[in-house]
Amino acid sequence: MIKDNWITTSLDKRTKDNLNDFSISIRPQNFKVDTFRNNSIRVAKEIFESYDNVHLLYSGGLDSEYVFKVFLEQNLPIKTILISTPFNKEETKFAIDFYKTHGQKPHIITYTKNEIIDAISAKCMALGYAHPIGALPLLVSDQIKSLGFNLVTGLGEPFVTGVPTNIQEKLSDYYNLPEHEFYLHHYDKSHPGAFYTYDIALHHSMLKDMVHTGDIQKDKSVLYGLEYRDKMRWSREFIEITSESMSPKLTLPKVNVSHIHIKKDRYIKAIERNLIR
Amino acid sequence: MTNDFLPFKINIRDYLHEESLYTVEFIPNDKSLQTITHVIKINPEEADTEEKIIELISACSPQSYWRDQIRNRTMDLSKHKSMIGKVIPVSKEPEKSLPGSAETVTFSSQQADEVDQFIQSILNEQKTI
Repeated sequence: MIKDNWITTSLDKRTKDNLNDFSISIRPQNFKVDTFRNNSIRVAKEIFESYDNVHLLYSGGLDSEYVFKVFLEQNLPIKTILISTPFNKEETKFAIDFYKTHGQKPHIITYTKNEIIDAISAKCMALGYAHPIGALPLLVSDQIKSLGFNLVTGLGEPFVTGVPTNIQEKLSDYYNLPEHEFYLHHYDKSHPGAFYTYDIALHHSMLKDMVHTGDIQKDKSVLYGLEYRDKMRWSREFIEITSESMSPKLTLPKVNVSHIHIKKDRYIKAIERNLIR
Repeated sequence: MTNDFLPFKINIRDYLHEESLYTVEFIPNDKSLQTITHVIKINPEEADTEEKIIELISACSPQSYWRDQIRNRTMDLSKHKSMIGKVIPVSKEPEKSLPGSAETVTFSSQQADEVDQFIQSILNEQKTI
């Protein structure tokens, strides 16, 4: 869930007609400023107390590992779900490092090559979602429904666009919010969902406490207190096969605007409208 | 190097209207090379047709980056002429990957077979529950 609906999206409209751009709206909320660390602990406790059978969708990436770490450090016995496919083995290695180090065991959901491609493609096409990996939490949500699990993810963080172009400097002034960070919330609001948009105070503290150096992985690893690792994506084969059937055609009217690029100061200002100092 | 030397597919991932910024993936046909993501600004007044936009985007393809990748992979071979005729696995990756590229290489202490073993042992436990 997104607490108090402090941030809403145009995903309803967009999934009905993909020509609608992705957009977000921020509702003013009263909140107190605190550190990212304190807010993370507060939100972890709140989620754990508010939901039964909380499971974290853990990939081995920095974002979900931080959530895992916060729960463990607070002695909140969260369980985790690990997706095993032929396409995400590199990232899974990091997850297994973490499991072994901390004496934890996941609930594993496995997919063969064809199973995951078919499931993701079907889900994306049925819902008009453009991002294959973004649909993964939805598959998990379907699978765990009968088990009574509630899902939290390491999604919801805006990141600074860092692309190798001559206009990089200008883009570094922007946050980038892709629509797929909001898919689970749109699909099934019964889950706690994306940790980093769970409430406005946590999201705000993340923006304020992250120091941007141009290397978002490095910046995140510092903020999270985790070891640096490259951004790991699923293998190209997966992206190519699934994207082939879902990619927007290269014609202007069908250009698929699925990310928000918003100037950092404008975004922070919108969030801070009802801030209590 | 011309576009014909290394054909690629173009995939527009995103378009920011008010800034005329296109986020474009250049996907080389050589699958051992990395997809490159660029953000390209195109003046709407210069690009009034779809063909013109495609032409402008194509002109921004990162050919030089791919050329460097190929060079990095072949350099060692050229230094060792005695190896000519032998099959040498090409495994060297560019030392620095570009941010935004589709695939990066990161190393964990876990080996692939350890990953499979770990997963299998958990799955066996799940079956017995």
